[in-house]
Amino acid sequence: MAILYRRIWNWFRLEVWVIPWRMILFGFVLVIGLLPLITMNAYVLRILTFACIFAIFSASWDLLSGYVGQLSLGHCAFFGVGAYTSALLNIHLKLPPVITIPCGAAMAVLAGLVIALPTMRLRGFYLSLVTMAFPFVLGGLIFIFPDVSGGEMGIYGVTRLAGSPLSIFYISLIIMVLSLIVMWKLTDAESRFIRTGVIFFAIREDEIAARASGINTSLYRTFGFCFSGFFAGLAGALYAHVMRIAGPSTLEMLLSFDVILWAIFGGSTTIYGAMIATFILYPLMEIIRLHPIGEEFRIVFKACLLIVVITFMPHGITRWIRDHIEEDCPRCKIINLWTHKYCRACRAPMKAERTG
Amino acid sequence: MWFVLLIINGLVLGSTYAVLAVGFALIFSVARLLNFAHTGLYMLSAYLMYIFMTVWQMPVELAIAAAIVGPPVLAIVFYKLLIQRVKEHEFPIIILTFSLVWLIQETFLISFDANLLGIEPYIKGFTEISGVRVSNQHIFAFLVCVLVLLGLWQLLARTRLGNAIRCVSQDTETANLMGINVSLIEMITVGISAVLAGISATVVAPLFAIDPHMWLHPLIIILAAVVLGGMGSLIGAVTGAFFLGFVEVAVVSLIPQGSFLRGAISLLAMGIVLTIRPDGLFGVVFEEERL
Amino acid sequence: MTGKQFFKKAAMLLACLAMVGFSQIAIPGSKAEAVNKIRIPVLGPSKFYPGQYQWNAAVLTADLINRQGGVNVGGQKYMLDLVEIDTNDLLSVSDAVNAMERACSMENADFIIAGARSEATLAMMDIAADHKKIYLDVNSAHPNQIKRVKEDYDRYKYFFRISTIVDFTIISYSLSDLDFVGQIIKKELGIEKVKVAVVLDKAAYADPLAGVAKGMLPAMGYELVGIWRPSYSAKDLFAEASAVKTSGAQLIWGVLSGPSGQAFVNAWSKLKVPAAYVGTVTDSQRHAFWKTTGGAANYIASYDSIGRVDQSPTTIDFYDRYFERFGEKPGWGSPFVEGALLALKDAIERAGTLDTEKVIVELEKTDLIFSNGRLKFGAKDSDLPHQVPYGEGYRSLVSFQWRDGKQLIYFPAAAPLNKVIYAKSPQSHYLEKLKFKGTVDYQLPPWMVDYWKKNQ
Repeated sequence: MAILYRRIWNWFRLEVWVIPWRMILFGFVLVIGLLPLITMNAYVLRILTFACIFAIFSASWDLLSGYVGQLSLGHCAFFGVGAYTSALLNIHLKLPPVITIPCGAAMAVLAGLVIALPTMRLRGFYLSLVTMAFPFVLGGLIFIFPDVSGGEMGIYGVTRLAGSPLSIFYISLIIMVLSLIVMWKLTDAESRFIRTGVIFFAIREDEIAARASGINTSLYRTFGFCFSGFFAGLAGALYAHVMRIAGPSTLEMLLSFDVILWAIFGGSTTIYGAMIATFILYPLMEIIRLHPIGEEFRIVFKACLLIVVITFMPHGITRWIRDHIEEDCPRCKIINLWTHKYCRACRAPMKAERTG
Repeated sequence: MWFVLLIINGLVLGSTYAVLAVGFALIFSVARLLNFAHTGLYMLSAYLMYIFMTVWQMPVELAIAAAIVGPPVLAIVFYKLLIQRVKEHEFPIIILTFSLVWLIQETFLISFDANLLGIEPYIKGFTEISGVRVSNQHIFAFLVCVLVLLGLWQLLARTRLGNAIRCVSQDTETANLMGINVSLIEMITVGISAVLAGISATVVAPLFAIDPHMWLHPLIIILAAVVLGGMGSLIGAVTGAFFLGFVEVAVVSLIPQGSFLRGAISLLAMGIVLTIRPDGLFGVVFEEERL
Repeated sequence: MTGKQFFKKAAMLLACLAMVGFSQIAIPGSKAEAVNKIRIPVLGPSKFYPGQYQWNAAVLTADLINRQGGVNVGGQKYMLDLVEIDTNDLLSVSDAVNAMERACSMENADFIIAGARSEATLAMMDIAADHKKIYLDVNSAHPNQIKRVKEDYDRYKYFFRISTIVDFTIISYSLSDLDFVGQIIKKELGIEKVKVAVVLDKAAYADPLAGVAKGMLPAMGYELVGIWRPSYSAKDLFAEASAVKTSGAQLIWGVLSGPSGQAFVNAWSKLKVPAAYVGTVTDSQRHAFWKTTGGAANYIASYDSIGRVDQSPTTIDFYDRYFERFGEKPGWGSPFVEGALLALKDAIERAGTLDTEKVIVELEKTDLIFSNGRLKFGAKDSDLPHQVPYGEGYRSLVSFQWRDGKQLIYFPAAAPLNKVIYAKSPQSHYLEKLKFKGTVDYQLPPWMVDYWKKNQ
């Protein structure tokens, strides 16, 4: 037991504490997790719960578009599939959320397959537009079969996720953290255990070269869609249980665009960037509404904020922050805090000395 | 009789989409920009028409002039100030253009509320063709769109400017090496594209209701049209737009109970075409991306 | 840039992030309630005119109540304090849900008046039920909400609806309206079997109407030539209008409560479709509709919840007060909001306390006159619990027709009821006896009369 603690502590000390960005993430999650100590207001908890759910959704978009390189404009299809599946299972088969949520995510994986297979030959923007077609087609299906899908009203009366807003919040938070860790592991190019990260990187950079190296790019593209679909569906299923309804609004294009913006704003090609951006922008937009001027101008404010930030930080805020607080050691390439004069591992001077 | 209905309404709807789609495709092929604000400029133009005609009671000609001049001014300013410096990164462009759309939307949402507004059509009356009624404003819209497309074609094929635009669109690097001022050409293209959006709005605004969210549906249609026709190909954009217009009208005429499906079915049609021809109908491969 | 500047910039950014995080706690919660105020949030889509109608009526009624001495709660005078919260439900259901959550937790209100679309209302009902707050619905119309009250009374007893429910009473009203105009067409143009085209929004409340059209119109003696279901927010319906004309219809039964209404009216007028319109175009209830469509609304008919006739002894007074203050006629939701506030005041005064459970008991006993007619909630064991009914002895809709910039009421006109309707809905018998003072005749559009006289 003691050995386990020792190992966890060592891991923390070596992998998290010294890398500034990971510390920030850790602190961030801690703060969010401890927020209920300061306020138990149901409205605030609800906003944070939604932020967690949208963070998963956003990160899943980033997985697909940032890593696998396919700009997906129809991501809300997965979200809607997850939401509707879990809602339908819950209402008709009376299954509890513990079962319906994984089923919703699984169904979204299936949707990922359905989207990936016909689009095997498509590249770039063509792919994006075909992905965009899917939410519309699904929406059409929902309206054609209103008896099964609840039509315009959607499905309502879904059982809640947990008893109190506090437990709902914590469940969402824990699921979000776990999902993000899994997503990160799937895309981490430096991981020695899971190769998918490196392969996604290769495919994105130069697909033909990757194929020439023997990587089955079609298979990995499908994986990308399926992984991404899984998490988006997970977010959708959680959403259905928190809102207690699943309606055509889950397939709205506007939701899709918002999520894309958060992911890009936070830093494309970074899983955690999506989370940070969602937690900044979504509650900000909600809180602003409490102020009468804010209510009127909140989208103007959002647009201006986006313009200002993107102009100066085109790769997203987390990338910018990382670039400025982290330095790579010139000799051993390990990440160091920018204030370090000497690398923490190899003791080499971080900045070249001036001669003469 | 249904056939006539299909043809006429399809031509009208398709032509309005075509002018919008061509502007979008033009910017994409020349400046490699996905200008999501294109239909936002279209909406700006429609509101300018409304403001000039209804709020300030100015004559129609002045309103049309303002509506055609306004979007290019805004587009060029925005392009110069903000977009040009982050041009190479694909994702920030999406955010910037969306932010522009939102700013335009909010300006009008705050000034006028979200309720629908309308403009008097300046071409009145209707014509009956084999028992099918079409309003004269629709016919005018169709004629104007056809003229605009022909004019654009002439511009691109015959003039020096058009030549330069086509060069930049085919191979930017070589065009630069040959002495063409690429950034100037890109700026001019942004202007032309905005003018096209403005023209489309001036002929179509009297037919539709104007509201701050009117940019979303046409955006989806022109994205689909441009992709269907093949990115970077203007003929493709026009073809795609007409195709989608016809599909929409067919759905409305043949499946009246399913007329709400017009959006879904046109996109599905686009998806099917793309599965068969992955590069779109007239797809063009850009030099830089040729491996 | 030196390290120090990096540090400053990064620190500032991090501080911003942290501030954003903590700002959520620092926002002051519900403002300290002033002594003797009843805080009532009014939720609705404030950027759209339905929300504006609701808010205006709320302000008008609350001011009147406050001027007359406020609400007497067990001997103490309380003033009504309204706060407007935007649900944005027409664009985003999650915004509406957040708005309701805010009303319940941040504003700490006990009584909430909300008028949102049916999809949002279902979700909002749950939140109000969780927090045990009284929810007075002034807009949604789907039967599902009332079904919930019936099936799970203990949880949903907080929900009361003053707005219309789309059940057979309302449908019979509209069909009788249609039949009334159909008879006029028969008489004036000498057509035996009038052809009817049906144009319905693709929205949940209109789904049963398609079935009704197919089932009842042929039985009523009409020929159904087609059913069109444009999308709720369609902007361009020229194709549909053209198709309606081609189908040869003489009468259009339209139920268009979204932006598609204006689009259809525009197209119908521009193409001079030779068919009379009857049914509803919710947009056309506004005075501003005439200007917005540039007069295209001429001869369009629609039903409305309120008109300047004496639907009840207080109707014309309410209408005039609203018009004087806001320069517009009261809209669909306005009388419902007035009714909600009056009912609330009445129930609180009889209960003598602000305690939710006691107020609910008193609300169920409400029986008062408001601008729409008689306000009485269905008993909890009836078919439609907590719903204010339509029909004999309660209230009626009115139908108006736009003529030269004026909205003129033409129905109910004490006209004989079609036998088929009477068989299905005997309670609609009241329409045969009802005719308000100031009702005029329905006029067929002249271009339609010309067309059919030529093409007999």
